[in-house]
Amino acid sequence: MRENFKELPMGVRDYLPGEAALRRYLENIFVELVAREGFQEVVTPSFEYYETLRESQSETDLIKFVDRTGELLALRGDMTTPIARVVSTKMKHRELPLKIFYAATVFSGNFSGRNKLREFKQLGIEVFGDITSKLESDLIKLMAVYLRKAKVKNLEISLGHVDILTGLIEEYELFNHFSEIKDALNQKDYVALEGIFERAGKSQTVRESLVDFLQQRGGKAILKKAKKMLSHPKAKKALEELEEVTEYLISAGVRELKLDFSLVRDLNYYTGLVFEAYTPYLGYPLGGGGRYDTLLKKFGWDTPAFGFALGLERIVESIANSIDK
Amino acid sequence: MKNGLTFALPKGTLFPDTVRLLYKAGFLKKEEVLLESRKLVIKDGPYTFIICRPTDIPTFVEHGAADLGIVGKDVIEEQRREIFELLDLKYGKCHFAVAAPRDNPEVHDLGKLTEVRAASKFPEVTRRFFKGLGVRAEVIKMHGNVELAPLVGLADVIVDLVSTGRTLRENNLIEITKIMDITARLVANRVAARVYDREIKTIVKKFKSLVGGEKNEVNLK
Repeated sequence: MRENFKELPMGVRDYLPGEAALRRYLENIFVELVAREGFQEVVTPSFEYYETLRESQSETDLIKFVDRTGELLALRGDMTTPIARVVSTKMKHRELPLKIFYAATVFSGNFSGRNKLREFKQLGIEVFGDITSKLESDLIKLMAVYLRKAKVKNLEISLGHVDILTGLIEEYELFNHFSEIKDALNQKDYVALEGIFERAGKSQTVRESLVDFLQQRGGKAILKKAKKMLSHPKAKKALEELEEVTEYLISAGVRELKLDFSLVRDLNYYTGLVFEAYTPYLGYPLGGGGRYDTLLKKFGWDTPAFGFALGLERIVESIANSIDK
Repeated sequence: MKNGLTFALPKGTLFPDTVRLLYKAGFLKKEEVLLESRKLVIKDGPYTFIICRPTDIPTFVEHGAADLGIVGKDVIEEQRREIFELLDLKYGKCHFAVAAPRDNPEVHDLGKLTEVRAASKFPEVTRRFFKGLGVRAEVIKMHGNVELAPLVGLADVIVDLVSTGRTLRENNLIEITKIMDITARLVANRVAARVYDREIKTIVKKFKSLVGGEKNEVNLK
């Protein structure tokens, strides 16, 4: 009957002194860095109404429960939605841009395998207000600076834009296949992608050039190719934004950068620039973020937003792996 | 930086064709290195090969223990891990099908069913298929000899891989619906595919030319 008494459930863990100290240190240097850049902390509750959190996350990703009064609640799955709720309902009259940071525990109902935790810590920032390309690149640089300070080795940052895909879909008249294409890209299934283009009646040449295009990754040169391939205004604007941000970042000394047209982040609130950070010492991204201009409108404040989140456990694991090898 | 990429290769039916492909691509000096060895980790030239159970390959690749893997689409579909699927290698052809006893015509038209008991080694694929069909399915997970289940009354139908159909015939089962075509696929870890993007693209190109994939006529460059 009490067989679990001394055990922990799947997906949660203890952090003993050495590792806990490293976590504390990594969190402290994050807080110190972003506070110096004028970011202020916001703390929100661990659980909220399910209907609030559902705005950005799928049902299966949230841990739900019912309280005594019968209200359906959920543990927060990320910090972006709670912060969007707070700033739109309580902080919109403050001076813009609003610069918020958090170091908070979030929860996931969808876990499997050794590395997926049901409780994990995210270090992140969100900015609300008038967001220029210069500001976007400053924030990406901030992430890079932090990861360098954390001594993450061989850092790489991928940069993409959601409107490259939207533009491509409009230009090639693939509207009917939009969600299928997004799913295939989310699952990184290039074989299925080619199948979808085939069903959409695209010739073999077009199919292959589309698949090849969506796998493009590299420096500024791939923007030139993309400009030749895409003439839709949305895609053109996306490419201009990417170019601007890339130029700012390069001149600011962020050389860990790669442009990547296959980058579609899992959360569906992104509306513009998106990015992810990697190291070869970890099999999954350290974190990432991007532009989300429509989420706040749902809470009654129509304002552009931009942010990123990094997984503390992932940073720790990558550091441990890079020392082992 | 670590040197050289790691491939996870599937033991079993896909193994001989996989070794042949690697040899033809010039990634192996001799086929025997893999075919005759009992070692599980083999270094030959720039690559490291790890030999594992097909169902473990998505795990190795997802966690980055292997940068690349070769595995059947059946395993990919069942597990739906966060890995990149880069190329259809076109060998290991078979398909997922629903099969039922020849002499139980009541279950031959799935569209007319509201409920079904289905036995399979692929419970997720089975669940998804029947969900899409709007049929409530009780899925019985089996580890082998799935054909037995309907014969002894454990299930109404089975969902399994079919290549020649001989096993079905011999057990008096008939295929009633095809679910999807299956072949071997080249998969990659999502970070490796980004960080070692150039090396991996070269490998994809090489494999593509060997497996008789359509020629890439348009080059964006």
